[in-house]
Amino acid sequence: MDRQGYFDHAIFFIVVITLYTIGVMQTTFLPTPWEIGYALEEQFEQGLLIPALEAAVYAIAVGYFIAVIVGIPVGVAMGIDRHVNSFLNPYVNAIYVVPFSALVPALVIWFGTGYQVRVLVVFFFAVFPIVMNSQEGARTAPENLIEAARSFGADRLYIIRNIVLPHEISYVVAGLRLGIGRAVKGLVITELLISATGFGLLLHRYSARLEFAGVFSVVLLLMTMGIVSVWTLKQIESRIVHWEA
Amino acid sequence: MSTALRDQIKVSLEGIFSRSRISVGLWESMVGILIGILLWEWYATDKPVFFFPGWFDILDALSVQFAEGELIPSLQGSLQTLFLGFFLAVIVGVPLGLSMGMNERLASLLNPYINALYVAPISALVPIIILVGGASFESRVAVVFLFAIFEITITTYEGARTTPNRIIDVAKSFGASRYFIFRRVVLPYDLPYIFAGMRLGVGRAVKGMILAELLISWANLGAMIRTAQNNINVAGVLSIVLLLMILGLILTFVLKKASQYLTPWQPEVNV
Repeated sequence: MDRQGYFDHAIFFIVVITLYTIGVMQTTFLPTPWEIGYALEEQFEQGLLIPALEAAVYAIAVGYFIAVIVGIPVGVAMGIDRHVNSFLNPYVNAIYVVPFSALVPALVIWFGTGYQVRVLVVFFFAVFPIVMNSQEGARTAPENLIEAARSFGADRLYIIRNIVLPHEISYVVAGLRLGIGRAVKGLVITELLISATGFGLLLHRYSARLEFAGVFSVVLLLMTMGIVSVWTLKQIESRIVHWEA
Repeated sequence: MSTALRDQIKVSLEGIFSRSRISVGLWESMVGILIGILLWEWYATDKPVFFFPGWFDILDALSVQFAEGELIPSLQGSLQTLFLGFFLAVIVGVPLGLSMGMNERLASLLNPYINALYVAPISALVPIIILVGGASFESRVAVVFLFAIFEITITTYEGARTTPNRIIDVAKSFGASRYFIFRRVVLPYDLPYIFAGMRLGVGRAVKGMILAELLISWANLGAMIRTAQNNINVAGVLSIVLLLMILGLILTFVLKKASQYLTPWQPEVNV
């Protein structure tokens, strides 16, 4: 970032802080940052946050893991074979179109309010970009490079190792990054809709008591979770896929 | 099966299909969907109706909801929320994306925040929206707005940013003003992107709408889902889910057609 950029961000920051301060003074619902900090500390000390966080991370980890080990092979198969592609395409699109928040009530009747629903929704949210990207990568393997390698007598293994895989992996890793962001979104939706357990219970409780700082701290935690997980995978992505700037 | 035999079957199959107007791929998709529907129906046969309904039970539930006179007013109410929120997202998001595309300084200032909010779970803000706006129509519109706007802004910006520099340079070398470049170069290039962003945004708007109706105040279609849930009537939940899916598909389709009609120079972009 250049000097002008830093300057702009500083001005923007000051404007936001000023607006927030006015908001804190003029309205009743905006808590100050330290109030949010205290609320967070209190939630930790009362032992409310850790179990909710554990359950959430567990659901994300399991759902995302299943999405990865299912999504990549399915996507690659769809990219390689157009019959598989047209056979499975309606389902992949359906996963994207279904409003899962509307489906959660049905899922609760089927699976209860425990971790199964969370894992399931996280899986469906995460699997879509992973499948799409793996498919796109496999479909667009650079033909001309493969032809060139072949005409120089390269064997199949060499072509896969040096052309197809480096091309595919950049797509897959991007899919994994998009997938983790959507996994967190899926989790948050289930947490909000299932107010009997986890973060949903916390939010429900603080909202009912009009403890604004308590609500803000949980909300900020959830949003940070989404941003940090995507950012982490972005860093890993730029390490792995260093050839695609 | 030997490769030669497989190829021969393929050729003869394609011969059959090429005579009909529907492509092989579409046939395969339809077979895929049919298998899914049959599997669902087969799984539902020995399950109680309230717990795992078959397709006819779901359609039945929809017709009951329609006959009880609840469906149409609910749908109208939902659409009102949806369109107002989406409209606001368009009239804020498109100018924002365009001005970011025209002004690099503004873009580098706002980009990190917009990208962060784009990947962050926006639905987490709903509890705060409830605290601020209460269980009101405005709160629900705000959720739809927040769900749709980032998709629209980012896609619009992407189109404006990638306007080919050589065209802008040509315009400049002929003495075009900034407004002329915006009106005659950037905007026509960006318009397909704007439509693409609206297409993506309207899908998200539907999701935001139903989430708001389930969480903020049990209203319209969301209230119908909640009622069905409380009565342990899965068919009643799934019928609304089906309706919402169809609604999303129709709106996406309409925007796609509108884009093909209104921007014939580049009917579609992939973003």
